[in-house]
Amino acid sequence: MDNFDKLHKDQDDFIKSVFQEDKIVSQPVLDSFETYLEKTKIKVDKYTHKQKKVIVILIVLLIISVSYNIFITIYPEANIFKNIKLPVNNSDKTTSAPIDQDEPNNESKTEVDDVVEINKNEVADNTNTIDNTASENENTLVNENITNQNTTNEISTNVVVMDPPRNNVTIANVTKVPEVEKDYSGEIDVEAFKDTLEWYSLGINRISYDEETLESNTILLAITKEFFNSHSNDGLKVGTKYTQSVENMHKFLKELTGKDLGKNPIQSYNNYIGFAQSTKSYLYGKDIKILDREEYKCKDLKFSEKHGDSYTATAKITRTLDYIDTVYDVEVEFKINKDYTYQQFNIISLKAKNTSFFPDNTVRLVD
Amino acid sequence: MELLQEVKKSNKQAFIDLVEKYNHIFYKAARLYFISDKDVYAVLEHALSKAFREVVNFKTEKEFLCWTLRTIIVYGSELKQKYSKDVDRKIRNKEFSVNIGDKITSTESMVDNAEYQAYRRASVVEEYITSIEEGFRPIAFLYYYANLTTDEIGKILKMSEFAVNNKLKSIRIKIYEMIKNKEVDL
Repeated sequence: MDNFDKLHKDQDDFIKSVFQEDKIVSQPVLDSFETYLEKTKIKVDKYTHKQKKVIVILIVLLIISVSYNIFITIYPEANIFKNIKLPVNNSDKTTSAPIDQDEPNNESKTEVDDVVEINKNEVADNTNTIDNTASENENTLVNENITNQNTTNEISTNVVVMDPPRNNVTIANVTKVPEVEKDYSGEIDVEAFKDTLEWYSLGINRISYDEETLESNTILLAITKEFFNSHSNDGLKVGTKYTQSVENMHKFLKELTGKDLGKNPIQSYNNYIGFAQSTKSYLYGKDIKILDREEYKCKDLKFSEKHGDSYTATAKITRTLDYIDTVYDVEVEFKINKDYTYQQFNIISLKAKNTSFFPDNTVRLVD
Repeated sequence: MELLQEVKKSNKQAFIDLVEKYNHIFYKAARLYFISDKDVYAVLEHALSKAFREVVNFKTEKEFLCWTLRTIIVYGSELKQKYSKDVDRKIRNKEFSVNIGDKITSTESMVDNAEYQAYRRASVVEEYITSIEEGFRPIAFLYYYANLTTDEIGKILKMSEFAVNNKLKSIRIKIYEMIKNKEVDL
């Protein structure tokens, strides 16, 4: 084998020595190229292939980034980075109201503004009528922070200060709120209604107003339980037998829906919530945690119409589920319960329309 | 290396100096496909212009040499195929009224040209390389004349080193014997 290799190498060297003696070229060809190169305007490229590839990748990334920004400007709900939030522990059912940690300033500011707007109207009413009779002030002031001290009405939030004798209203640190189409603020406790709407929104696409369904019943019972849980600070402890009783829960539902459910327990999906014969009360099932994953927020609440004693309100409800926000435009028809024990709003109907980029993500309840 | 650095600054004279250093290799590489200087020039102009533009990609003169040789071989092969198709088409269509010097007929017509015959006699590379099969010519040329390694040849021709070695094996003895026989004749 070595001899073969050596022989091949010798032969190769011999051939190469013969070949490489040949330096014959056609000079006119090379001269032509020299002339061509001098005359032509070709230039050496500024960037290597690798540099060009990097530039192309950067340009592509830039285009993607710009396109994405334009896209999320059109569809803000599609912003996956906005929707990534730290998981919120929903297990604490004793909390009286959801704590808004995402946008505390804007949200609370808007709420304060709403209240201030109402108070302002209330104050104006009072001012106009104060000369006639003091009893006119029986129009309930929505904000309990207003205290009447003979000639001076003060709002404890220090936002509105009223001086009736001079008919002068001073507003400090308040930006003008979006105008409410029709002002029923004197008749409706806006904050309470907003709160009601936020927990009632669990029934979006689930509560049926035409017929009785297991899903609708389940949600109504879950809402009732949630109400008692969130009002445990008011003495309504959900753990108590009285609160859990069929009679009591049906009483709440009658005030909320206007329908008398009687004294017999209603049918529902027991894996979420259902009647337990052993305790003669409604108890949570194992799947109730599925509903705990959902959070609801109410924005842009407006009261648009009033027919007789029923009102129509519109709002934007945002459902956050698995870090995805789904926004609904809702229209709520409701009445005000004059003599109520638990619930001052009787919801007649709620119509919801998904206006967000994401498809409707309502989790259907199944047994 | 210095010459290459100068070329990267768009120095055309430096590029011409660089080309002159390897011009015999480039010229003969183009002649693997064409006999006519006109066609050879067309291939060289294309390959060298491209090499000048892309000189920033080469770190060494060897890289420049290999890259330019590959461009000559690829472009020369493509151009020859195109010419062959054109000739075939003309024969099929019985269009024989082509002018002498026309690219399409130039290659064929030059075979019997006295000038070409003189060149072939003077150039041993031309003589021996054209005596072997067409498919083996680039390998023989790159190995024996351009003095490249089998690995480099494999990269230029997009072949494995093993395939290059195999082809070399079958042409080595043939070329060797041709040279030896000629020496005996002389």
